[in-house]
Amino acid sequence: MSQDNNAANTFISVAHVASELFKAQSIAEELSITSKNARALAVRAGSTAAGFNEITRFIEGLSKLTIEAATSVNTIAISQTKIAANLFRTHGFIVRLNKVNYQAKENQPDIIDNIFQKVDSERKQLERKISSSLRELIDRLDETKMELRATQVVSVVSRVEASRASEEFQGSLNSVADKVSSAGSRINSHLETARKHLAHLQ
Amino acid sequence: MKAISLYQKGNHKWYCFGRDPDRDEKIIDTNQYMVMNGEQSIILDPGGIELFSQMLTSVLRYTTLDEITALFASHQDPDIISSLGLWDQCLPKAKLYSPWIWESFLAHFGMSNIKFEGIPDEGSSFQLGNTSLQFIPAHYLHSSGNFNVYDKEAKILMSGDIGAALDKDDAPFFVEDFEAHIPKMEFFHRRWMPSNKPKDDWIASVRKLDIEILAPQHGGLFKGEMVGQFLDWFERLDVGIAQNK
Ligand SMILES: [Fe+2]
Ligand SMILES: [Fe+2]
Repeated sequence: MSQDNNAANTFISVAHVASELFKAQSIAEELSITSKNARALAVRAGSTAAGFNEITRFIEGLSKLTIEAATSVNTIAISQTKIAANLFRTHGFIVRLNKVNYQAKENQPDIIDNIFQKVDSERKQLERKISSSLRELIDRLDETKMELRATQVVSVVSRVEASRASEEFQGSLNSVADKVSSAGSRINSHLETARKHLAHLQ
Repeated sequence: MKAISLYQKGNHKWYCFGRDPDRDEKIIDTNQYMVMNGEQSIILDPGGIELFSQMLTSVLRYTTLDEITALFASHQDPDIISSLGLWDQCLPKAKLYSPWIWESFLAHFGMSNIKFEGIPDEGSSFQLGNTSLQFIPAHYLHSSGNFNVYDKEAKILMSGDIGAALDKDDAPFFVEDFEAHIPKMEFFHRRWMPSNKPKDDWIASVRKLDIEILAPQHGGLFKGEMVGQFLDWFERLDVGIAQNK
């Protein structure tokens, strides 16, 4: 029964990861809109906000990166939950098969044992698949977290650039910087939660 | 799996999940629903075992496992609730609301943790957070023990297999052209629904309800005046005929 629980824990955890990444993705989509607005703002602010225009490209890149990561994590996670759910059913099947009271007749092949061997090798295969795709999932999450460190830098640089712009635009440019840093930290916290859901499976 | 929001007012929400692009084509496409109010959620017709993974992933985008306090199965069919044994592992404290006659049948799907709450034939109401949902009898449409879920605040009637259509995977969530939709549901209703009497009783009872959205378990949802169009069409249709097409 404990193997059953392992499989159940895996599909629950991985489904949690996918939903955290989905939330991160919606924030990244907001961020992408922020960056487009910021670009329009930089154009209006003219030469004093020229540096800002460059920054919006960065922001755009960051949001794209998060969206890509979310999509690929989502694909891994969905296939992972499927494997885990299959594994759960396979364990259940093996437990029940073990309870079958059957004695092969002399010189006859042991049908139950044949089935058992087949399913048990499937089980092993599923378990291998699970641990390798778990590895993949963890790597992808860690990688994204690393890449997102840049958001904090971008937000600091944005503030510096904002202070150079003419006064009427400073407020709006600063609010872009605020949005970037808040989006960055919210995305980060979703990634962290996602990562925690996997911690006990390693 | 795609998701749309059907209703949202404060912390009272309805979601519909379906049109899963990764679904095996041998499996009939289904709509799953989730109603949330405050810190409680109920999943209506949670679906078959094959789409459990996508469903679990999808609902966790909006709620947590602790908050899913109940499941509802309109009837005993595999496309409705064969995932029970897997939900049973994730929601050990949840209750399953379903027609009382199906209790010992549903247990075959695996129900060691979830507690069964049989809905009496005449229907009952269910408290979800600060709101209440109505289990409306829809027996013999098509299953001999069968309920719809009505939410008078959201004006949504989740009608299970009633109003079901077999449609393309990329069909929109809402029916856009009623006339064009008829061929997609006619055979299903004529072949699966056993008799006219319960059909007429059901139509009379739901005509008394204020319905903005009629939400079936397969195919497009009916909105606004299409709800009335559907009831009129269903009223005219002779059911219980086993003729292939
Ligand atoms: Fe059915
Ligand atoms: Fe159905």
